[in-house]
Amino acid sequence: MKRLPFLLALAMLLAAAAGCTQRTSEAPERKALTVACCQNYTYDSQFRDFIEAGFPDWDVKFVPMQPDNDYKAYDDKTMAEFLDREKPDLLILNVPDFKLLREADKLQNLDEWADKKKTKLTETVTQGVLDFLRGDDNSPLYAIGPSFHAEALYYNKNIFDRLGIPYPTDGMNWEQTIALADRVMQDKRRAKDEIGLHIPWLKGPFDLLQRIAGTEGLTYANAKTGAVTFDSPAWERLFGQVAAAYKRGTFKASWPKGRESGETTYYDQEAMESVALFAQGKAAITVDSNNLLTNLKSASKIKFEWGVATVPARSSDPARGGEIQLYEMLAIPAGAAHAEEAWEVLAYFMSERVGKAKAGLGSMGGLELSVQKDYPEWKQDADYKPFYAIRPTNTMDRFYYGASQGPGSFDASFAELVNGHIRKVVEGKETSNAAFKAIQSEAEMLMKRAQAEEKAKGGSDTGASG
Amino acid sequence: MKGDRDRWDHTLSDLPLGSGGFGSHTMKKVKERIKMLERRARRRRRIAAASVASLAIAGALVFRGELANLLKHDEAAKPVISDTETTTLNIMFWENNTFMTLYGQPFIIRHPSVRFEYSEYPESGAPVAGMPVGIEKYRENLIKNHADLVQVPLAYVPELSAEGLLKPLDTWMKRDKQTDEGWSEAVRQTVREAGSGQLYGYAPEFSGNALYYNRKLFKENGIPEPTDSMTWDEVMNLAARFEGLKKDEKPIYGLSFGYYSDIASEALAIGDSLGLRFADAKLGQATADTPAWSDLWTKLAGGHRAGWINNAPNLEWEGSIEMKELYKGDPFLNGRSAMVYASNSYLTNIAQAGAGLGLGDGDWAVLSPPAGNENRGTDGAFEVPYVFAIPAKSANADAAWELVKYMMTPSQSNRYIRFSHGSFLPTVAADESTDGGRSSVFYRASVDSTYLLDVSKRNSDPVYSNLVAAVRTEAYNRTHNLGDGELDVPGLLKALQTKAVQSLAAKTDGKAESQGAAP
Repeated sequence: MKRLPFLLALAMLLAAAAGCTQRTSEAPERKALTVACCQNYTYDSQFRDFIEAGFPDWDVKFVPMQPDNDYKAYDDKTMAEFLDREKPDLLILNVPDFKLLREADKLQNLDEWADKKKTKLTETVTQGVLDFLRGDDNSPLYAIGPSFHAEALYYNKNIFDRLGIPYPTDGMNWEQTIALADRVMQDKRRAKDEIGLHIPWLKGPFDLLQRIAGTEGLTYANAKTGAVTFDSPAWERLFGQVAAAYKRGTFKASWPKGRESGETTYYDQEAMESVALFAQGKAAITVDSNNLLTNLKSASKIKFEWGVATVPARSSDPARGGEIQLYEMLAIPAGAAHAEEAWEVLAYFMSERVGKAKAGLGSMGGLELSVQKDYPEWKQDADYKPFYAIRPTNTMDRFYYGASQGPGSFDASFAELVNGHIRKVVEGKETSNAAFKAIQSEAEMLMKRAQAEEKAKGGSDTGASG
Repeated sequence: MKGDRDRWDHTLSDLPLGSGGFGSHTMKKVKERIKMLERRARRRRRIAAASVASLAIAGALVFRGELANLLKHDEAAKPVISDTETTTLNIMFWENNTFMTLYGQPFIIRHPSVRFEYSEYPESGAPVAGMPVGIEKYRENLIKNHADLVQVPLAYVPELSAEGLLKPLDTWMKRDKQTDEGWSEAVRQTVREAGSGQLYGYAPEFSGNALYYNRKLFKENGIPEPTDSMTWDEVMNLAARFEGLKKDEKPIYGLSFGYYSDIASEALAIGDSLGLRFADAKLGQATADTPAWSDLWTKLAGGHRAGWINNAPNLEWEGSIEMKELYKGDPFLNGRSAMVYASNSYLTNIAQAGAGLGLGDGDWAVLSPPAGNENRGTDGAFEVPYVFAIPAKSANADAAWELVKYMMTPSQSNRYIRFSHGSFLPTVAADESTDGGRSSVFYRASVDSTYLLDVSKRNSDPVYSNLVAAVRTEAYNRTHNLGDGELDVPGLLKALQTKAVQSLAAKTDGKAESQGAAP
């Protein structure tokens, strides 16, 4: 009986202590974070669910960087104003905004964060994405994202089976790819409306030439010196091959009909489907992004068997090929008030947990691939492997295959020149050799004209050329 | 080239394929109020946990042995959903992508090892889109298939639960300290009514109706404002006081029904709220030509004729049209209608177009809907379309319950508003800023749940819904080209009654035939 008062006292003491702990820990324990990102819709569909699930107790404030149905291009001044006004702790950036901030040295070094936290931030990330992020000079990481887009080669198994031609394989280069497509095209048993190679979003033979040149690391001009560098054995070989493929009808260019609205062109579902020759079963091979994989897997309309291999590789280095893209990258701004929290969220997005969840979301989680290299295993789907098996030919520093190589109007007029000569080859009015030889000198004249135009422009409007 | 690629990517990322068709314009901002609620609830839980812990420690001194056993048992308990092993939940929902957008995505993000597969939804085999297929298909599905979570029309819950095909949820609710107190009271009552007091499913959404009114118009014309819970007679009389009034040379209407309306759909909508129907309870006799229907049609016809009900022709169009063009023709949105009877989704119309057309935030208010003399104060057309239920045969019932529990959270309600499909409200109130707090009228709706359940049973009966479709078409065909004042109400009702009788007869014959043909 003596023990009872003691126990009661103890209970009260404990309760009081718990109450005290409660009070003292309540206020400071609620963490706060301001996230700046994208449009409302992108944040809601790609990021908000993850943050709410991972950090349910936090006060997370979201600040959109983009208006709902428009695109805002930032410059140094407007970006600095945005950061001053909103004071974000975590940025989710597109490539142009990343570059702006990186050049202004306004982002924190993530390698240093990982060292400090003894976290292996990048160990589970596929090498291609790291190549892309670290750029040409293998620089430190200033941003990293949970998802990326990449390319692969897709083939129609039914066509290959029917003609008894072997399937494309991983690591083939463009020359081998075109040669295989040619075999399909030359086969008389082929259905009339079937073609060997179709690549969406190419307007003509020059675009294919450029695509391949991008893989091979070839450039046709040097913007700095004004030299035209087309006259080389590598270009000669490439030109001959593309002209021949185009002449035989192996390769077909197509561009959907868009709807112009102001300065923007919209392509609706119907327009897109009209040029989707591979999905219609009419192309033996296509090279396309991982979006096609999602679409092939979710579409009930696909009536043929298909396979996936790595995107055509560089002839001199079969480990490299294609391009990748990251649309949203997480970064911590230099002056972040809640940098620790920002790091925590960034590390969470780069975790296995998030990667595995993405694997379960299908197309709901967006059309991108997780950057986690085990993603194909988590998906339990070998069709995803080709996207992880090859390192890209582009980096953050060289973003687009269509990036300009000459001054002013040169690129457009050069494309027109090349397409014109290939047309003549197709029509039998010129040999492929003669066409190739003519291009270098004609291109040099175009270069001179473009330089002169730029100079004239610079003279009348000096302010704009910086 | 670069530009085109940008645009293409932009277009794609804006409208991902398989997003369930939700455009960015439907996405709403998150609301801070729910965050506050969550925060408060969490604090309460933490305090409760702290006091339980202190008692446990005190108790441990006395009952050390027993407690040790208890703790050991707790430690051994595995989480319901493993983080490492795959848990596959089989779902029966009307549209798989919509399921993923609304519920699947946030649940997988919380439980990365969960995967979903789908059972065929019975209505997808319906002969006419949108027509109910009847309870039999659901019963079959629950007996033959292996779904873990099913979407079931509320109307079928009483029978399916009574037959033991659905798991009762109350034991789980109690065990996991879940409460239905935060639900819309009308939904809570109606769902419990369907289970004879027990809970057999969670209804995540509902729709309700209201009387919206333009305060400015009432003030300018010296007419007293309407009040909550009026009768239709009172509303019509009030609306009639606007007869002949004009603003900027254009007529003002006392009552309207949105941007696209005709007398037939108005009669059916008001008929619903009054509890009128086209056949008796046993579907034996057609009741399209009754004094109550006659009274309603006569009043509507009078209002149209005199112009105190919006009688401007609807905007007709071919192909697609932008919503803003339609909104322009809505007399309430453009400030020329004193009142509009509409559902909760009209809040969206006001939010999207009101301010742009001159209907400012302070210019309007919303009241509980009109009804008949007998059901005054209730929303006779309140709708709880379906529940999520766990089949008795579910092999993953515990995991399915975790999903249902997640569906009940306020944070899911916030998502529900952000990924809204417009016409329904979440059962657990979401946020205030979506509608400026005006949705509260729908959460305090009063209903006669027995009556609602009857209505929902009738509407889910293929025989009755075919009858309504036939009568609706007939009513529309006979009225939509008539000029004001030309409507012969007795003639129309006679025709509608004939249609209803024919429809009932055809269905009865059809039933007899198919029964006769069965082996």
